[in-house]
Amino acid sequence: MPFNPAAIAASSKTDSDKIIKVMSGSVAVPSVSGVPVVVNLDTALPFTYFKGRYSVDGGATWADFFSFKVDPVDVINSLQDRLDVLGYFITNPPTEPAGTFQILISNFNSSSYTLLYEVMFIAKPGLGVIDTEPTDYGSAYQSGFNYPKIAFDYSVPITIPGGVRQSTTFNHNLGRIPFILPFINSGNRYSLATDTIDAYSEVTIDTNDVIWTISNEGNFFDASYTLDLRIYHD
Amino acid sequence: MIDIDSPAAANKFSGFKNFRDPLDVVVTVPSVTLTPSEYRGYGNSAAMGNANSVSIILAKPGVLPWRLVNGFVIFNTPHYDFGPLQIWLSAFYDGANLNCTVGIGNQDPGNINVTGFDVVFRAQLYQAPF
Repeated sequence: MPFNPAAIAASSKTDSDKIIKVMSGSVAVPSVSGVPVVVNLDTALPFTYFKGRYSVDGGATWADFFSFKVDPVDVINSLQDRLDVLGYFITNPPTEPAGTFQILISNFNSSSYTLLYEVMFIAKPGLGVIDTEPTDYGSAYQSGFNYPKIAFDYSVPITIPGGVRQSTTFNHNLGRIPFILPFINSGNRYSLATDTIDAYSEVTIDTNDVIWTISNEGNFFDASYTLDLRIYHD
Repeated sequence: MIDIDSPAAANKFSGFKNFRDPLDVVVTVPSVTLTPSEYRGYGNSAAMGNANSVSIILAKPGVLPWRLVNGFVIFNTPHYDFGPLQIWLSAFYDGANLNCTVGIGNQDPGNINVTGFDVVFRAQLYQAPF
């Protein structure tokens, strides 16, 4: 999937990601206890795109949110014995104040950890006027990097009847397989789309479309979501 | 106060930088016979380097479409129930390596023969301002 300059010839008019805030910290995670560790961050932001990562070895190695680590001691039973780290915005105040980004850490390993976390928040369309933090990193061009260009931003509200699996097609017509960031607002959480939070979600990609399938087969009631999808040129 | 939706704001934010050349890692699932309730896992990893990065990971299992993989996202997905055969995909970037796992399982009371297939995992790294 090489960079495709022909697709973004009007580069000066092509938007790119904008990082609007970075937050970090650490938290003690006890060995397997059955009680998730919860970290609430007051972002002072409307819910928006994000990417986060965590470390359990003092910052020597990092893993993205929504991935797990298995303690080598427990590797034989790896599906059950692991450290899960999720991150999402709370979207149903007053459970938590508006703007709360919650990190949920479930440790099924036999080791305890000091977990470091870092989250960057990326602007999605419609945020409008916001306060920003001063940054010491610029956006000057560096030849070793490429600034990914945004091809499409979709935001689509959907309602799925109970007992139904429903697909929503997002057309891109790029002629190749693009990288994407899909986020789902379930009314409770604004999260990277996974089947681990609130709804089973499956995102497939072909050269013309992104097809996002969500299952409401396990419920008798209608379920409403907003699907936010960023599709990149490169 | 900055209007994020204004073009004039473009230079007032840090970019979200990626590294060129996404990396492909292939996990080969061999032809195998699974006994009832038997599960097997296959994995592969490759060095990606580039600390201070986060990733977006796609995967293409056999002839099926590309799909997004985020860590342990694809457990128990009906899309990957091919009759009695169940398939999981899992991948994550740990700051140094792209680690990919394919799990196959037999949900049938009898043996099943699985025809071998490859799963291509494709990751793009994005420079984070950490």
